[in-house]
This record gives sequence, C-alpha cells and structure tokens, in this order.
Amino acid sequence: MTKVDAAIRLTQKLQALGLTITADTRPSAFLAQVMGNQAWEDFWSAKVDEVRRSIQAYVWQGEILPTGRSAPAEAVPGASYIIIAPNGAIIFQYGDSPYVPETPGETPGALTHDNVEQAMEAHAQALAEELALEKLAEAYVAWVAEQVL
Amino acid sequence: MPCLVIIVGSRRLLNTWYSSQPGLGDSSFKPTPMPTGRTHLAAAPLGVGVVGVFGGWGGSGTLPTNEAYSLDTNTWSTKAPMPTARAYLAAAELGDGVAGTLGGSGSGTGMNFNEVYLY
Repeated sequence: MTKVDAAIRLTQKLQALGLTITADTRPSAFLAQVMGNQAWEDFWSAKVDEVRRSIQAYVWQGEILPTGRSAPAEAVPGASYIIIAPNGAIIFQYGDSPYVPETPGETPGALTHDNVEQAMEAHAQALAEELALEKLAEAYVAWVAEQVL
Repeated sequence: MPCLVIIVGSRRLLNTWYSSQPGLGDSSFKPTPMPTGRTHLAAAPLGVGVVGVFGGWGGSGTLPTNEAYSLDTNTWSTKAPMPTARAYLAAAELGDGVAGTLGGSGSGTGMNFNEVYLY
C-alpha cells in the first residue's frame, strides 16, 4: 500500500459518505498530521503490525474447529489453516487458498504441507492491511468532522 | 432440517450478521461473523449449506472480495477475488456449486460493469 493508494482510498471513503473534499480536508493534510515525522513506509507498517497482532493464525492439525464443529473429511491436517479475525470471524481454509505462492509444477492455489505456513501468513497479512486501512479511513472521517464542525 | 441463513450488510459496516431463522434448526446457533465488513454486497448459494458473498463497499472503497460461508462448519473461507472490485452487484446460483456475479459499480470510476464470473 503506497501513500497515494491510501490517499485515494480515503478520498473514496469521503465521497461514499456524500462529502466533498476541500482544501482543509484533503487526505494529504490528514496523513501529514497523523504521520508526524515518520516516513510513510514506517507509519503504515506499524499500523498493519498493530492489527496483525490482533489476528490469530495457525495451521490446523485435525482438532475440532473453534466453532465447535468438525471439519469436512476432505480437509487435510497440516495442510489447512485457521484465521480468527479481531471481530471473531473464523476463516477455515482447506484445499485451496488464493494466497498460495505460485510454484511450477503444482496446481495453482492448492494448499500443501509445504506451502501452508506461507499462504497463512500472506492471508493474515492481507486481512491486517484491509482492517488497518478501514481504521485509517474511520480516523480520517472523524478528523474531517472536526475540521468542518 | 431446513434452515434459512440471512446475510445482512449494513450502512455502518457492522461486520454483517447472519442467523438461522428462529423456529428452524437450532435457535442457540450463533453464526460466526463475516471476515470483511461491507455493504451493498451480493450473495448466492454455492451448493447445499454453502453461500458465496461477493464484492460490496468496504471501509474505504469497493471490494473484489469473494468469501464463502459453510453452515456445516460455521466458518468462512476466502476464495480468489473477483477481477473487478465492485458494489451494487447481483449474484445468482447457476447450479453444481457455481454462482455468477453480474453488474455492479466501481468506486470513483462512475462505470457500471457488465461482466459474469463463475466460481
């Protein structure tokens, strides 16, 4: 996520609320204020890391799922993973995952014992990025309200 | 036992809420919330006890997100995202665990998409 990407998403957030951006409520002004002296990369990675710490992720080894249910028979222990989001959402990924790294000679997206850790971490990181962006957008809307009211 | 799963996206991105219909199935059942809070999404059955939830408005724009909920395990799984991020789309069951997503609107582009994807 670049600073420009983030600014675009903040702009879209405001537009979705039916608000118009003025010189005083530009995303760049908000970002400059919340970043302080930090470089964008440092600021953003800290935000994502903060959210990532609130996400649980582990390789499923055949136990009962956190929902209290049994897994489907086709789920392979050691080649499936569970992610628990901060809102309590439970993701049980087995069989395939869009976060499996591409490996020549292997079925695209197929989870294996060898790639499950990498896919799980990429999945959790992507979730953390999206949630961090959502938090940033909420903070931006609150900041705009302060400027306007 | 027939069971109705209700998927609700709200204007406040309340992470969506789902419930078995009172009086049908287990009334104490607590569905796990959706991983990605969003509004203006589309949903369609992907087979018995599985529903796919596509796109929508997230916290800061339209999403290509494609997630599936399984009633058997009460868990979600993430599927390959749609090629186009969009909200206000439609989804329909096409049979044999396949759904199509149609139309919708992208964020900031003012364009309406007319594409069909199969999952």
